[in-house]
Amino acid sequence: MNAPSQASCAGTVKLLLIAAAALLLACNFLPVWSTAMESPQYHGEDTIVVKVYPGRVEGNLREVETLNQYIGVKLPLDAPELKGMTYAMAAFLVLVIGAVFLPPAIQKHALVGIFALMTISGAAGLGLLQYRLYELGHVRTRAIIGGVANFTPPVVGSMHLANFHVYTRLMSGGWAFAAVVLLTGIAVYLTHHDAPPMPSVPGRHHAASCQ
Amino acid sequence: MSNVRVHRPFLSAVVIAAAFAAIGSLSACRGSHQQDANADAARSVYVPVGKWDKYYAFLSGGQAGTVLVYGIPSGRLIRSIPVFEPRAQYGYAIPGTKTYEMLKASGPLWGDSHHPALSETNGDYDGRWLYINDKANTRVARIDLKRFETAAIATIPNFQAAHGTSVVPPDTKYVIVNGEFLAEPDKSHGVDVAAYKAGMAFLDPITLQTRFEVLVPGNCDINDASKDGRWAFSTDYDTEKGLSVEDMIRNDEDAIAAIDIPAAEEAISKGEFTSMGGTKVIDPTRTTKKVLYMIPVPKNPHGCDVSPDGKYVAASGKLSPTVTLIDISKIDKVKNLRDAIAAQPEVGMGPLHTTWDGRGNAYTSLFIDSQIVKWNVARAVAGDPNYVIDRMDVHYNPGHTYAALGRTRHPSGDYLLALNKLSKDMFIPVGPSMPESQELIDISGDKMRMLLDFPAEPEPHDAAFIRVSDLAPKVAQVEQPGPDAIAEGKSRIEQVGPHEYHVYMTVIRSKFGLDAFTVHQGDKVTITLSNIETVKDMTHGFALEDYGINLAIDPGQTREVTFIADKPGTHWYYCTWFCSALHLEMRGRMLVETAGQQEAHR
Repeated sequence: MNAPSQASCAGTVKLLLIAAAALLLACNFLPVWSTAMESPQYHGEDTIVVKVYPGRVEGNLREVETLNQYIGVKLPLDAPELKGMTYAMAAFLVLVIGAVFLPPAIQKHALVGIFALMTISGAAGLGLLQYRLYELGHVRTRAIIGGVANFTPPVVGSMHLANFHVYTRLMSGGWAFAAVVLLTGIAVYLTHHDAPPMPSVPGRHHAASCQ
Repeated sequence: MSNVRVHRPFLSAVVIAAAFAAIGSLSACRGSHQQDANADAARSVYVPVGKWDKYYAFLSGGQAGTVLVYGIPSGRLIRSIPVFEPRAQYGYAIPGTKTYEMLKASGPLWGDSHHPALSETNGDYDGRWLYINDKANTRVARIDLKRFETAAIATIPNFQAAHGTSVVPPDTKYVIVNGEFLAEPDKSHGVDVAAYKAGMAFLDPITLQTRFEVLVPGNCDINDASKDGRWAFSTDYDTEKGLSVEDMIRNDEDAIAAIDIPAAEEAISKGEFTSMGGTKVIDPTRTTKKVLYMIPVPKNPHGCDVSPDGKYVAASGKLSPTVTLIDISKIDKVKNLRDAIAAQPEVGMGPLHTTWDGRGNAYTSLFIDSQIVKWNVARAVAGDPNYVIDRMDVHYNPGHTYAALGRTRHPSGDYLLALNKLSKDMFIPVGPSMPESQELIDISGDKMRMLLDFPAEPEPHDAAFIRVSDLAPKVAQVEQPGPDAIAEGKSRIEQVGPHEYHVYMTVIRSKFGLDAFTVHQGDKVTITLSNIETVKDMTHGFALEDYGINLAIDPGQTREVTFIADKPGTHWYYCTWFCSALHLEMRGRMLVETAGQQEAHR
């Protein structure tokens, strides 16, 4: 009875990893994080939206730059982590696809490593984002208008800045990466709960394991 | 008896008091009703802050040579579009600009705009173009409604005084413009009265080139076209060819001129025309197929309006208290053209123009009576004496009247505008020259209801509405930069000839691309400016001190001006459209060096 269960478990793990790989691929084309700036003059279709993708920032950057002449913040448009995100996604993609083909004994350990790497990278990414947001509001080079104190926009949330309400949130790419971490985590769980055969007790089995 | 003596005064007092009370009560009641009516009218035209009107109303600007754009029902003036007159405010037709060259090439730097006509597709307004005539200089212009800018201006050859202006439905095959005044057709400055002619010009809707003209005996006044595009109509006065008022009204009858457009096209294809003034002119007395039908109507008619169902063309009587309804389907079928007249209802004194609500009712402006009269077409045609449904006083002396979308196949039947020629006491006095008065009337019910009046600078003649929902989505507010746009960081000055410079500058809040540039006295200088803003309503100006130059550059646009730098010294240029908190700082200097200063630099 174990052979089919193990085969089924391996199949589930494979499916999870393929799904994770597909999501990682999609991550390169999806916005990870965005900020929307609203004010009486900029609302509805005129709201200024900036979206961060792996490797690039899109949105009405010219308008942000133009308005920034008053505030003088440091816009991290050329931050190295933008490119870093692309490389990280590519690396994770290679690792996840590679893990699909590993023998189960190695795969279960490899997945722990990948999962840990992803979790740490994700947390580091959020931390770096928060740092850039801090830097943006504190390393101000040419502020020419008074009344705007140093500030730190939240990674997810809202704040008032000059005449703007600024809203920040994770976008589909960010959630997709979270889903990748989750899928990898489930794969880790499944591979590590693939316990050796137990004495057969009719009607009993571990519901959450791959027996 | 003594009792009677005692009570009679008492009774009288009681009766008088009761009468006063009743009158007071009635008066209070009437006042209350008036207040309610005012409140209803106010509610009907109120557009909340931040909300949009239902219609764009294009009103000709008359002696200003412009087109005025109002919101309906609020009556708010949204903007004006300069057409036949320079307007520094918008950088339009300032010497040295392309728009100046366009206007100058077409004639004088002034015009008298009367009749806005919207382009149509499938018989409804398509929101592409607005055509407007210049009566004074026999021109017509095409306004691009994507940008609300004058895109083309053309002079109509052979004729004098471009008056009635309309398009040929259903797909704007031609723009028809009437040549009203009698004059020698080839504009040879002749004074031979016997050679005087007038007629109708048929223009290409894009190039505005006159494709052909048809001579009409008399003065072509207002025009319209049948909904199927077969007929062009014009009220035709002064068929006497009189040159004084007395002679112009001598005869009892004039006509509606009906031009069979396919027959005219056939005459052109057969070579039955004379080449004159660079176009083909048809003399309808010399064509093998009948091109022109002169349908008699009471003398000196004015308005010429085709009903939305395409059945009738109405000639408003002006000097006659009637409107003559002509059955269009009978024009080429009856032996006696009088038999094409379906009805001639008497509507009031001085009928000038007729418009339609799409529910079978016509509305005619009565210049002398100062009224709009609502009458039912079917009843008038059937001979029912009760064809007049309602009358409404307007203030004062209405010229054109226009029911929303009344010139299309599908009038909306909600609002009617009376374009009154005199305002007299309607607005606060502003000297002896008073604004004109427009009045908006609710025509959605059986009885007309006055909603609003609003002034306009002299002098709107006619109006055309288009639904905001049909036009607003097509309007560009931030343009995609064209191939001539200057890229960010590419501002520069180039010497392009021994005494010629070209300055390229970007403009964006709050900086011109160059803080300063130097040229030499007498140099020819061209300045090209690209507005590289990406958000709407961020227009920048470019005013050059003491050179009479002001440009307005809208987001994404590139504008250019050329001039001779003949005034030495420092000339600041600055942004004239308040754009930002650093607007006052948004400027730079043109340094014009004299020959001596150049030598000193060497």
